[in-house]
Amino acid sequence: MSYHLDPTHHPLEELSQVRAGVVLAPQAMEHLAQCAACEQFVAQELPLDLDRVFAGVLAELHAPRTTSLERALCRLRLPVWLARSITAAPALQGSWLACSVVVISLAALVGGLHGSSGNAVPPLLVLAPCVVAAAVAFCYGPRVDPLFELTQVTPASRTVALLARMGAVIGVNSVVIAVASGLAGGPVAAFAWFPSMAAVSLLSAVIAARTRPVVGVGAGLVIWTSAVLAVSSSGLRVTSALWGAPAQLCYGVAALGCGVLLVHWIRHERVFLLPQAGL
Amino acid sequence: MRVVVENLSRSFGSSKVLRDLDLTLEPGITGILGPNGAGKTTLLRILSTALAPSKGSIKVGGWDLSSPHGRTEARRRLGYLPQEVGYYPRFTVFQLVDYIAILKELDDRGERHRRVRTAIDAVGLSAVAGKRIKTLSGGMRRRVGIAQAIVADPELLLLDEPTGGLDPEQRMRFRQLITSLSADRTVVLSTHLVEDIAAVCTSVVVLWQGQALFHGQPAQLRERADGMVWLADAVPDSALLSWRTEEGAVRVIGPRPSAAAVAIEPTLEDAYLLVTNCAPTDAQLR
Ligand SMILES: Nc1ncnc2c1ncn2[C@@H]1O[C@H](COP(=O)(O)OP(=O)(O)OP(=O)(O)O)[C@@H](O)[C@H]1O
Ligand SMILES: [Mg+2]
Repeated sequence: MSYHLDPTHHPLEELSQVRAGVVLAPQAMEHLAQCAACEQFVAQELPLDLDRVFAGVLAELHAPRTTSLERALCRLRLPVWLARSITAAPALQGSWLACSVVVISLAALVGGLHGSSGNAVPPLLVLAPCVVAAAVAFCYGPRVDPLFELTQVTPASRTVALLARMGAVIGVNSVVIAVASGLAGGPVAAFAWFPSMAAVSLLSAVIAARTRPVVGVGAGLVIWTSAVLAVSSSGLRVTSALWGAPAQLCYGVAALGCGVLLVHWIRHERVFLLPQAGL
Repeated sequence: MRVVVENLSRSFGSSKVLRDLDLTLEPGITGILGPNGAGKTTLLRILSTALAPSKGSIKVGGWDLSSPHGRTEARRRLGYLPQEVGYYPRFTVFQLVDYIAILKELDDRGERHRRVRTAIDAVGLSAVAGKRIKTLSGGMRRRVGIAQAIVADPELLLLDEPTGGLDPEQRMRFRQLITSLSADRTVVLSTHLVEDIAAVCTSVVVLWQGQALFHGQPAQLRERADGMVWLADAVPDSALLSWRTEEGAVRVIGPRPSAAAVAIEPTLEDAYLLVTNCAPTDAQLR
């Protein structure tokens, strides 16, 4: 194919354009080496900085490969910024999810092996809120996200970013828990774990937003395990006391209250305060 | 873009970090000069909307930062380099700048990538655009931070210690870049380096314990030390500051130390030292 640099077509711009650069630059280079007329034209007329052109081509070759999760989220019509913000959450990275899957599977397995004997505490029901609370507390904030300070000064909504990350974390973990409890044929009705998990997670998130993620998780875990221990040592029937209808209603109200509080705080930018620079 | 700060205060617990600051920042380059702990980062964080003030009002190009709408509009128009820029370990230089460009609402992929390449090129990092940031040196990471700050072509550019960790050549390149950018925008940079101020700034604020001790042109700051800098033979008792120079003479800042002392032309650094050493003490401020 013959390729000539045509001054009326702004070849420089064309060359430095991303796609054109990838497709045409090698041809243009080859042609330049052979065609005296074009070479002279370039030398005289164009401040053609070939290093720059190739840098552009290289940069495009190195441009972000979007992850399949990000592409899937974009296909669900999520804006690009939100899709990338969600996939960047630490608690949604492969290693973190793998740990959650292992803990939840083990809990489901142990529960399945023991069956619903006596007044035993179902391990999955106790552990599920703990695992998700940790993931939620570590999905957003200045001590979690290395780019937090930068993202805070962009027009992207903080509330949407926080809720999207929390929603994604709770959603992904819920699927894992549902699958694990289904496979293990657990003793308690499906999704009985959801309200307690939501309440403990949001409580941890509220405390983490005001303090630090570890404090949030620690406080959530202490409150939850204390409640479980208190009930199991009180002689009450554990499953109905902790996962019966009245308890579920309380979890629902607590989760809603914590959620509303968190959204109120973040809308008024009163939480997730930046720590001192340089520490 | 004009930035108007009125009666700005910020406290952390019982410690007052910014005290009733009044500043008007005009287009051009304003340098914030001050010692460690003076409140430079706190001021830039507040101007960038990353941190809320405890008291006072800030208007960025007419947008009031006390309202959510005003903050969003200001965020659309500003670029910010924090004192420390973190990064995701798996991100390349291109990915980080691209991520910020996405958050700055550059939605068209082709146009965004063109701007990302231009910003990376402007800080001289084109050759490492595809490298992971964790493999870069500290100075190079600083330049990635500058690239993300300029990617969306901001009208207000806030740079917290932009030259920290840059080698002399890069510092020179940075100064050229900032000068070329400052033609029609407001650039505010914090620094400990008086050379940065002398080289690029059209205006300087000396910040001391949360107060602006001086705000004006660098030449006006230098004039403050006229008749206050001397070369003497011995260290005098009356001097505010004195130190022995390489040539062996004693450079004195303060009133004439002795009849034999010779008045010399003050530098910007002399003036900065004079202004900060005449400042009220913490106890007086309280
Ligand atoms: N998030 C925070 N929590 C508590 N104190 C803080 C916080 N941020 C800043 N400070 C305090 O405010 C004061 C000013 O800090 P700042 O970081 O603004 O100073 P600076 O002028 O930027 O100093 P440097 O030159 O060291 O960067 C310091 O005493 C610091 O301890
Ligand atoms: Mg600082």
